[in-house]
Amino acid sequence: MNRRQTLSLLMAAGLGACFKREDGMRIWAMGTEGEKIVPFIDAFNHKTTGPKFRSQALPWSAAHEKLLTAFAADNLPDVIALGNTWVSEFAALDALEPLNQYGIDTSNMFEAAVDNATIDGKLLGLPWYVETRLLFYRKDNLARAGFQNPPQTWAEWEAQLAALGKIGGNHKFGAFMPVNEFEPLVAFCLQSQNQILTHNATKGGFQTNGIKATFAFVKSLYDKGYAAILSGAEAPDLYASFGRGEFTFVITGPWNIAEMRKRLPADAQDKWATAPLPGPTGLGASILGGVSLGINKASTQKTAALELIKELTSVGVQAEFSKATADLPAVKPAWALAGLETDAKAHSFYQQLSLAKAPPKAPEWERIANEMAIAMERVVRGIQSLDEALAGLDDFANDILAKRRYMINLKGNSHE
Amino acid sequence: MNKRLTLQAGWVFIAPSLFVLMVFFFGPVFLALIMSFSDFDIYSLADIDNLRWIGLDNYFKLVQTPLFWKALGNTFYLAIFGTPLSIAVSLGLAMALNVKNAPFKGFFRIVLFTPYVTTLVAAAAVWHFILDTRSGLLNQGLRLLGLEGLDWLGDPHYSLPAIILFSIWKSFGYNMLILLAALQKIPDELYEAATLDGANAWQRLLHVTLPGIMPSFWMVSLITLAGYFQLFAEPYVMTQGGPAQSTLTLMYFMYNEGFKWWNLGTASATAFVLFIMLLGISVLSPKNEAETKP
Repeated sequence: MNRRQTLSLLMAAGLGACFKREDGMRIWAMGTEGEKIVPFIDAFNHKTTGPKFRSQALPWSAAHEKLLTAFAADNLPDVIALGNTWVSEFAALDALEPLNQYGIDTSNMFEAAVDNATIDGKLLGLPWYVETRLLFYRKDNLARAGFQNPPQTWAEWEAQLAALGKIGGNHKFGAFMPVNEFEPLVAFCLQSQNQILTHNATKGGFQTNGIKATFAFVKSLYDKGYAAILSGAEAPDLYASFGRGEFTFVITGPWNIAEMRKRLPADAQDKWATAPLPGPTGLGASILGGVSLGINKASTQKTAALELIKELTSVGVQAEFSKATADLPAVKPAWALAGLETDAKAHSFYQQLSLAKAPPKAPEWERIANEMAIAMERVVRGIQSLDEALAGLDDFANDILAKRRYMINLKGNSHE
Repeated sequence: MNKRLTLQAGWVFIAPSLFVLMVFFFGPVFLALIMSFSDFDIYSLADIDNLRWIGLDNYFKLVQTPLFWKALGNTFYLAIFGTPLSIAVSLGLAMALNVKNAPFKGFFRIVLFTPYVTTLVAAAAVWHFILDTRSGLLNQGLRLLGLEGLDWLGDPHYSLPAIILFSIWKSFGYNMLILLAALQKIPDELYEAATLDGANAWQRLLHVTLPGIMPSFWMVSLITLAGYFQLFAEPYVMTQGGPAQSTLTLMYFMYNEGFKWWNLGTASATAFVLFIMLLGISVLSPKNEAETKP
């Protein structure tokens, strides 16, 4: 029995799951996109002379586990939609076909998104749709505090938050930043000149000056009362309180443009806007997210798979897909076609995406990011000092990344 | 000679189930034990050569993981509060169904047993709606009584009680039927004699009913206890272990380690910790059962 068979047996016994191989080409995608992709796949099937594709939607909450078990069972689909933080994991599994050899032009895509899908020089997927985090803010509150424009630097932001705190009434807290969300913290860390993970993402860089300063800055927002110390479950309903203007800033992603338009009361609609994140010295970077399309290395029909992912990342299809899902296209020229360029709220995302950076490319990253939020919560709740927390984070990261270091050393030695 | 023949026949009879047990139970358990001494992770999944044998390191690391203790604490919370409550509800309803000449007994027996036969995931999805803060049935009922509704699944303080509430509803039917069968075996004469001796209802419960059903009572309690230790699907469907990891059970922790982060070594070690705890619980039973048998 070879490795895959052993594993399949274990999976079958352990999960009681049963994977049935079916004929034809398959593509798996997550969430709404997994459902909205159907007409695009139909159109592709209609047009293509090659094999036909079938799409299957996975719920986001179960997708990651499902993809890994499918890999263990040697049953991954031909084309895989991968959350951007999973790319390095599937690179470690050697499950994805490098696309460099196919001469695909990625010059019209957001660089951070292409970078995110590139591991050790290998392009392992094509960015399908992108997201990032930036400021949603209340223009009316800001105007009452005496500011006409959103902040460009940390210092400006702090000054605005301080002024907002003095208005009183409902505007007790300037920013809404639940402590259990790691994205804003990671976004600010990515603005630093130091890296969160150093040495090719094999060691923690939490005690470097830059990261330390970022943690201290975020901590100060809570300490000075600019943001309430809330975890997600305790937090009030975002839309209701933002609609009432109870806070001025929230750092969140593009899906909330549509949500805010839908859920905020009509009289609040012209009172909110979006803006790129402030940075230490000017508009700053943010965390790049989104989904890329990869080709299963074990697929027997790679040409057909390539044809599909090229189609899905072509300008026209990207624009249509964006209209159907409200996602942000990874391909820049599709923005104008989808009518996003004339939309000021979406345009801030264009600006931010051009400044965005890919998070560290280690398979263990998501776990470390979770721990960052937990550490920050301990600090702002006074359970730990900042220095202890950062030392603890370095220990945690170094421990989690031990196997990665071992693997990279192993690979390095075998090349010699 | 004769004895050897019967023995062989015995083997033939148990062979099919033994085979199934070997392949689907003892085999995987043994493999999991082996795996718990390794650092099986996604790198090993890519190439089995990347696997390293690390002895008891997984176990040492586990006891140093705060989240493991949190999950263990949640599991004990569920077991300690859930088990007596489940048994109390089951026993109370079994006794109600055992009342002489009560009307519609068959009907109530079926209705009360229904939750047990519903699909757990579907029922959990329904309870998700019942427990909803704003429009949930439970909170609307509380409001009718003039009480403030609670954020059952969103508040770390009430999420575990909400899970217990659901578990009781889901499982009391089975326990109730077992206890009802035991209750029906108690001869009426014992109650009559006790009444003649001047025992009140409480004394009759303590000195006639409970000793009479003790073997079944123990069995039901241990099964329920073991069930709470293995609780997984309820939080998985209703809360995903949240809020603030307040409904993360040991099983859920193991699942996350194994299938979310793909640390099968750590997950296997967790499984064996749970296994040893359950083994400890099952050792409790024969001793007490022997004591209670006349």
